[in-house]
Amino acid sequence: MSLFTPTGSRWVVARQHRYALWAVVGLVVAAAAVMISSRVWADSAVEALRAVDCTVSSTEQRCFQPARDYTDAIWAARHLIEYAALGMMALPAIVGAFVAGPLIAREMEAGTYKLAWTQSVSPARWLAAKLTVPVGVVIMGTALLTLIFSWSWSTGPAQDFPTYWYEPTMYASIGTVPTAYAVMGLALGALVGLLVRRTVTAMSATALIIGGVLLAMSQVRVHLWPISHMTSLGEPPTAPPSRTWRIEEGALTPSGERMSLSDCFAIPPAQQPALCKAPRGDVTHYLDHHPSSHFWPIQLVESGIVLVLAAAATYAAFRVLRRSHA
Amino acid sequence: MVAYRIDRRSGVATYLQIVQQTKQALRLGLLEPGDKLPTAREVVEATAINPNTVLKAYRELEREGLVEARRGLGTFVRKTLGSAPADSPLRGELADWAARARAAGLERDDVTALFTSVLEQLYEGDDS
Amino acid sequence: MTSALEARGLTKQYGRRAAALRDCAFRLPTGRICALVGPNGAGKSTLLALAAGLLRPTGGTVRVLGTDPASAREKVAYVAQDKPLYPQLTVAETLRMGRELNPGRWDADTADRIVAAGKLDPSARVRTLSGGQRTRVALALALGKRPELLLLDEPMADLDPLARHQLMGTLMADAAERGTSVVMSSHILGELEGACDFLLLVDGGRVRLGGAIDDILGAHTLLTGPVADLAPHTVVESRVTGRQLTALVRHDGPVDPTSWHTTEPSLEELVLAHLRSPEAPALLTPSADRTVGA
Repeated sequence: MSLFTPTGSRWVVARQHRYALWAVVGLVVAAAAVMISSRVWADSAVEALRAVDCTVSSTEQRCFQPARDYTDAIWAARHLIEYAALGMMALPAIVGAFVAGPLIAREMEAGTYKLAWTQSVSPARWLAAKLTVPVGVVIMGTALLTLIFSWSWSTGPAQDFPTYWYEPTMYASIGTVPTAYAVMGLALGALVGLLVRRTVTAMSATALIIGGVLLAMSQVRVHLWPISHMTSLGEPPTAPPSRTWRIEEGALTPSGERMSLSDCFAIPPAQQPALCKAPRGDVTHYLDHHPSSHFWPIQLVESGIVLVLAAAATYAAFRVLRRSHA
Repeated sequence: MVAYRIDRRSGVATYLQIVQQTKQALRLGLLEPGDKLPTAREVVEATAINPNTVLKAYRELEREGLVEARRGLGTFVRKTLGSAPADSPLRGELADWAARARAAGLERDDVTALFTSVLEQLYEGDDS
Repeated sequence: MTSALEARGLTKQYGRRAAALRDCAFRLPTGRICALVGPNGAGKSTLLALAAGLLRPTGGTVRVLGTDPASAREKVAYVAQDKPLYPQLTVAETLRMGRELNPGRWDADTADRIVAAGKLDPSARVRTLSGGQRTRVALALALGKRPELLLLDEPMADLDPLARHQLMGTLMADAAERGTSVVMSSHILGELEGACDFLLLVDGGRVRLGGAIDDILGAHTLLTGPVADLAPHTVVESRVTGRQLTALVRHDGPVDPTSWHTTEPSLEELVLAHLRSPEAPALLTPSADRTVGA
């Protein structure tokens, strides 16, 4: 299999960075182990509580201790998942920094690119090899971690102490988005590495840029798919609480203007809008939200945008190479 | 086979040093007709001089008729230099003369001095 | 006839600094061993990097083995001044890299022989090697590629005299056997004298002298005698001590041997005289002039 017995430039890249590649394998295994044990732990806590025929909210004396143990275990598992999610979020920046620094900029800084480019391989082929070796590892690694994360996340904590798909850290750890960001990190890393040509500077710059992209995307994410509107007379609309990304809610004035119900708590009461005094049954409530069915559309649109960015960065990297070198 | 020794400080052009050392080897009988000269590769590997310098020296030797290049085989000695091979009659006469000198009571240094002075007188003005 | 190296109006400027090379034009015929000499910062490394395709010229063109540097990549080997190698690879892995990156060209025997002659342990990591040992590995990598043109930037700087002689011998043997064209730079002429038959003197970003060394030497005369007008000869450098004049001239017709004591200058005298006299006109002998016979 050519991935494991690479030839030509890819052999050189794999040989140069074999420790890094092993470290990646080790990291993936460790992260998978953490997430799997978290799930197993949570499952066993659920099982233990059920075995003594108790629930968390039970008022029976005999259930107090098992319920406390269950709560402790689930909270611990939830913390682990949150740390894992933070790790998943940092992954693109780590990948990018590695590509920008040790993979590319160090060659420019140490002058070893002069060795690589004067063999029978063109600089463009050299860059292609630099990207194809890690891209395989990165895609397989993140896809695997994403799957394990989803499996690990969709258990115990989801019931009594739920985490939600639209929380930024959770959202960035499941679906196709993590892989897309990792690939973008790789491409941006290559571009920055070629432009900056200093290992440490290139690593920091790449991490900062990727952090900026993640932040910007988390701001616009809500608009990546048309928002659903719900209205209801008398009572606020009901939507499954753990599934729905609630964006904005309030009441509609008779003229159809939106109003936040929190305005009704204004002091002095004279400043409260007239609607606050209207009979409950006459008030129309509204809710802007993304139902859980929007998860995949949003994920795919965001992945698409990120991959377009990655493609642009890759193109730019090859252009930079061609502009200054024969 | 000869091994060339190149002296960078001698002031003598490198190719001339090779020509002279080859002739010396011919004179001393170290090289005889049919012998192969080292290839340019062998010479430059040992001396770190320019290959074209060796080729120039060999061309010069060839021009003088001392060696000939055989395509694909190498450069071979065609004729020897000097006309005093070990078994010539001249050598016998010289040996007789030396024996008489010794019988007359001359020391080795005396014989050498005598021989050299005659040589200088006879060959005066010639360039070797 | 194709040239090993040919430059036309070649200019390279880094950013807004003064040009490292300005409007260089010369030709190096194939099969020559060329000394690229000049003071530090003269533009030697820039010229070699342009020929190796590592840099793009800001003006003019450079042709390598009759084509552009990128197309000639497979047939050209280059050893940069700092002998870059991957420090984390072993010697054996570095040679394996040569095989991987030069498919169809790699000559493992040659490369192995050069490394073995330095008594290098193949399993030693490059980062543990001395400067001279790294030079040896870099040269093994370059010669293992079986290049038609070998570009060496200060190749002998880190070597002890024994290794220098031995590696120079290896280079010359390769050139003798395969007709490799070689360009070697140095700011110390003595390192290259004897091995080279062609000269490019670069100074201040320009080619000052170019041509077969015999031709260049033959075009100049070192003369001493009474102070007098040296016309029609071109004076490269002259010095008056009392009533005696010592001058290096590029002669135009024979120099009058009755009024002057004349000798042919050594290569070192010639180069130094040109470096001391920046205003002396450049000389390209016909073999180095791309407008002649090319």
